[in-house]
Amino acid sequence: MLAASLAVAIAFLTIPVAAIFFDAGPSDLVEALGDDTTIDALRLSLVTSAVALGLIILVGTPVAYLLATRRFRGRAIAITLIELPLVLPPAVAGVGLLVALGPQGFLGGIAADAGIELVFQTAGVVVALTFVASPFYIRQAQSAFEALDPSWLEASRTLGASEARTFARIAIPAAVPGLVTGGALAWGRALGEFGATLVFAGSFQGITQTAPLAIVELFGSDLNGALALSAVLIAFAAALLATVKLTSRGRGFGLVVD
Amino acid sequence: MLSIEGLCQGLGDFELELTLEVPTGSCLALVGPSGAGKSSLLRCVAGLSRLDTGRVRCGEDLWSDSESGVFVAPEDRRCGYLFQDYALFPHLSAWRNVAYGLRGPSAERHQKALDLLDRFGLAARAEAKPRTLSGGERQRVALARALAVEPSVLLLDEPLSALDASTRGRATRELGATIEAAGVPTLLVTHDYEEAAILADEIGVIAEGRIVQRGTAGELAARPGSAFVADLVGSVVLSGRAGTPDDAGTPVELDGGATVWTTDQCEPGEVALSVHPWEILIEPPGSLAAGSARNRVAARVASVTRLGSRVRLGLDAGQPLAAEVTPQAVSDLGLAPGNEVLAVWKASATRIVTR
Repeated sequence: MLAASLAVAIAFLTIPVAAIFFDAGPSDLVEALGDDTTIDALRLSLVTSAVALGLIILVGTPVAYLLATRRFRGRAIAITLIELPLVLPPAVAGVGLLVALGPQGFLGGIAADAGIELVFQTAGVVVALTFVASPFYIRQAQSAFEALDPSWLEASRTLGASEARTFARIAIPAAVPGLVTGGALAWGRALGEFGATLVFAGSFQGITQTAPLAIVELFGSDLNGALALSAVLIAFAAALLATVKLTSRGRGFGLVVD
Repeated sequence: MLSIEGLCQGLGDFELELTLEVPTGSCLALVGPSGAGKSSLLRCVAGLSRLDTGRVRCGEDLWSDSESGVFVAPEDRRCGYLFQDYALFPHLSAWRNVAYGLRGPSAERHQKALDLLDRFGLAARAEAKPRTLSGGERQRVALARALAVEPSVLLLDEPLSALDASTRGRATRELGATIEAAGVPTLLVTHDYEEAAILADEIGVIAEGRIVQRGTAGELAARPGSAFVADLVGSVVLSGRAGTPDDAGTPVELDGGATVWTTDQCEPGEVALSVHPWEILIEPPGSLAAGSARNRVAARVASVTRLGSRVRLGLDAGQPLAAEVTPQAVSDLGLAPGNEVLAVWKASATRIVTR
């Protein structure tokens, strides 16, 4: 009975993924990847998600460290607010970004004065991806920092290292496996992002049309193209999942503590 | 000189409240049950916690002063802090752990770290990561790391309690030598009285955040101020030199004369023995061996202290010794300071605490 339910669950979850590879032959998939739409979409997805990931790591790492190592008033509220995008429907996130950062938005005016245009621009895609993916990194990074033995950080201080040096030389290296896991999860979320991007940045080939948006557009005209893009995203997702599994078991970095 | 004046720190149920001084080159051990506020004190000295009230100074330097608001950051205090579980950085090799606190060109730091590891017999383990080191090796790496910054004070938090019995003896001897060589004020906290008695020049018994009695190990054993101190002090620690063991045990020539036997086995050489005061019988001087107890040591009564239903006798047997007897025995034997007596105990009640 238990074994049967496991078999049903696994079949249900893996058959659609496997079907993508079996529906069209490998040669059809490779050929479809040569199409302009798919190439632009993949390139844009990679660039925007990589930039978003960079921003998330740059700002999110100190934020996670602060939340993990300090107790202050409003900390619980800060954590809840940071987690908000996790439960927000992506389309709602897109609408929110549009209202806040669009030409009529209350921050949009400031951005426009500074010469930054976001709506229907590649930069807008980065903003949408950063918005939806950052909680995945910050949560994971926070728990990685919380798992550090506080006496390592204290020992570093008594050995003459400032707080900043302790963060850079002890906290980050010792937390690397957790940070990599968080980065992989955030990257995976960013690559799959659809709703917020569509609402906030639209779907213009080469400018804002990321791979998931391209899949939907190709679906009506070029099924093989849609399948090929899907297959690439699956391969990427699998690689990210493998990274998460390996680092959370402490392999490959030699940085994990017993 | 490390001095702590009027320190007062809230710790949940009670307050840590003390004033103490540790002269340069001397080691003060604070002994007390866990939760007595010992680690909190070290944290205050190191600047890892801020003081509620009080003042900490090291030599001429004022480190913390609640009144004037002075607070020197931990990185500017140069405290050699040995953490309870050693707190080695898991991602750095042994030598990089030691070099962490060193400044200067990297080749110089590397060489200095290797020299320090070599001093602790760990040159061959320089490239090893902490998780591959044994407990004793970790302790020595941590000690080398703490000494690397040429500390102005040594703070030792339960320095031996993470070690298993087989490595404790060697670690104890090495730590003792290290404390002596460092020549700075050393503040050691532990729940293990024997550890304190072996390593420290002076012991402060701490209970609920206060020092209830302070003195040398011999003074505390001979004249405990309260039953709490008497129970905590527990055994008396004697130093001596072990001879060659035979089937019946090991003879130990005590510093200050007399030879006693222990049923514990050990290599010949310097040892410390422990015996509980309540295992020691008091007989009139010159009485002949009549029972099975093998250790018979002439001693002079130095003090008689009543502790509820029992009486603690401080004895001078070349080194301080203590016995616990009933008030009845005191009056029957007419025990008073200055009396000559014979302290008698079994070889099997004599434990070797270092090997």
